[in-house]
Amino acid sequence: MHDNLPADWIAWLLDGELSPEERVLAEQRLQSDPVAMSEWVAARDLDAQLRAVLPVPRLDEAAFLERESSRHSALTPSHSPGARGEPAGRASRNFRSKRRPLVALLAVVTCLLLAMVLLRSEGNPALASVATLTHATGPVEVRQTTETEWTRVAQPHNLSLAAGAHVRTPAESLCEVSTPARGLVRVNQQTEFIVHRPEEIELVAGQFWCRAAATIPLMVSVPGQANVESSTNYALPKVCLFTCPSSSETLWRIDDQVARCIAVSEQPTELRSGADQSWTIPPGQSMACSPGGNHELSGPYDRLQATSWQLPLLNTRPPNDPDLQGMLQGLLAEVGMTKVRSFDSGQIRSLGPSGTLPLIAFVRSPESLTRPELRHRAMAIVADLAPASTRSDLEVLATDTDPEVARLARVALDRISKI
Amino acid sequence: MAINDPAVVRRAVAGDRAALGVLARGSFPRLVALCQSRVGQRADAEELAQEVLLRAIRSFSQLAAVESFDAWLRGIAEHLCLDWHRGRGRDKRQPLDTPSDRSAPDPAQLAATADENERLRQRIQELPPELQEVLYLHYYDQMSYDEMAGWLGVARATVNERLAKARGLLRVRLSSSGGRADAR
Repeated sequence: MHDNLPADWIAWLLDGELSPEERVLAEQRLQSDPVAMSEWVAARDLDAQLRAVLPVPRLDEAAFLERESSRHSALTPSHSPGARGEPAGRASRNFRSKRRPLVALLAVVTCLLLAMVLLRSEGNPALASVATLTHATGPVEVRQTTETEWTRVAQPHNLSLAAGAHVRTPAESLCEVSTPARGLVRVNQQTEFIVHRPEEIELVAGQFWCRAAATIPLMVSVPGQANVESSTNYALPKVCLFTCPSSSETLWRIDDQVARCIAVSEQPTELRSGADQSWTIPPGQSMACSPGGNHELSGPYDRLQATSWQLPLLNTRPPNDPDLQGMLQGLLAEVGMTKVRSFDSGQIRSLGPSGTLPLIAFVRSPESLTRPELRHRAMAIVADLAPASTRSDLEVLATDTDPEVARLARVALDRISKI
Repeated sequence: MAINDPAVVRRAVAGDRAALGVLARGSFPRLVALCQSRVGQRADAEELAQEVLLRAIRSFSQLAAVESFDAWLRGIAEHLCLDWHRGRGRDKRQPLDTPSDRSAPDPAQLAATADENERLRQRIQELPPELQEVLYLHYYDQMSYDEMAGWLGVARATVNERLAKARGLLRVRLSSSGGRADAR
């Protein structure tokens, strides 16, 4: 099916010249062909360099029109409007030049019109958006692909980012970026990244967390040496491009020039690079991508701790936001595990019914599955004290694969039903 | 395929200053692309592009049909570039100016990237003018292949071929001269 692609499909993909159908084929080809992927990254890098050295020329429109007016005045005698076959427009302008008040009024109107045109052009509608900076906790700096200077955006809200746009967060800000397919990227402080195209983002410095869209993967590139052989005479790109599977959650960061990916998903995350390279990262483990092209697994990392920097960003969400709820449940589960591990039953029971909330969060967390004894201890207390408000949690636990947990949940439900 | 909207051209010719502003602003990047591919320096190209626009405005009476405005404007630009070479005898191989709107990064960053950027600019200048122009058009005016073909008066396949050739030559030349065609 790849044969249907035009010969220069990499350049066409870069320049937005492929049809939607061809683009899908091109994406598939990139995934299955490491040489094509290498050439794509090299082409994209050259494109970024060219954009940097060839900034868009901008005409100072007001100055130009002023220049045109002054030259026109110098060349046109004011007493001969429309003489000697001049264009109608020029003749009419000469005629108006004798009516100074009207000219002044027209000048003001013209300036207002020009200002409107210029303001409208600020958004650069010709550039297609490949991602949206939805919100931030403070100012961020953006350099769109056609710009050479960073622009400080005080309170970004649904800011469109064109292909090749650079964004960096200062020390006081975090921001969130959504992709067209609803992938999500949360960016920590002092981080710089580039959005290359829909569902492709590059981490330049700092760290971000990302969740791939439910339907298609997210491509993440980081500094490093690509692990592919090139059949061309071009040097290999100095970035590693990874494919994160759909719905996966990963945390990417660069420490001491080493890029690292931490699997945050509850399931193992299979990262792919090119056609024949893949790495399965267990939850909480990380993979380092060193400049030499070595990829080593290490860990474990505390997933909650590793992502807790997002809380100021989540804090801007409504209380029922699923991500915020998930983060809070994770924190509550940690508290519950600490309690059931470090305190005796009497101490926990003395906290009353509300003291069982962290215990229930712990028993429901995937992390508790490897600690059946702690789960049983927690559930024994839950069975006696859980308040009626925890009914929905207990109904889930009543179907737990651990028979003892399920039995104790049913005991709690029986007790609640009699209250 | 007309790049400039004939309706805007018509209004500009009739003396509508707002339309004139739109026409000048829209045409400026592609004129800079044409002029820079002929005269080399960006600053000279920007000055020439403004002069092209001023001459065009003064000569609206000679425009036969608004639909042929693009070709007519190109013709003025080509003549002015020739005049520039005849009258001033500039050295076409002078290094490109740093654009005035370029940001001023910190000194360390500047030192690290200045050489590479300068090398890339020089490699661009070494390309044949027709390859330079299509490259400048693509990056200055964000034109699609069809729009570039319309402006240049060539087939879309020719645009594709020139752009691919320009990029390919740059990658090879940068790679062989120790540039960073492969990295940021």
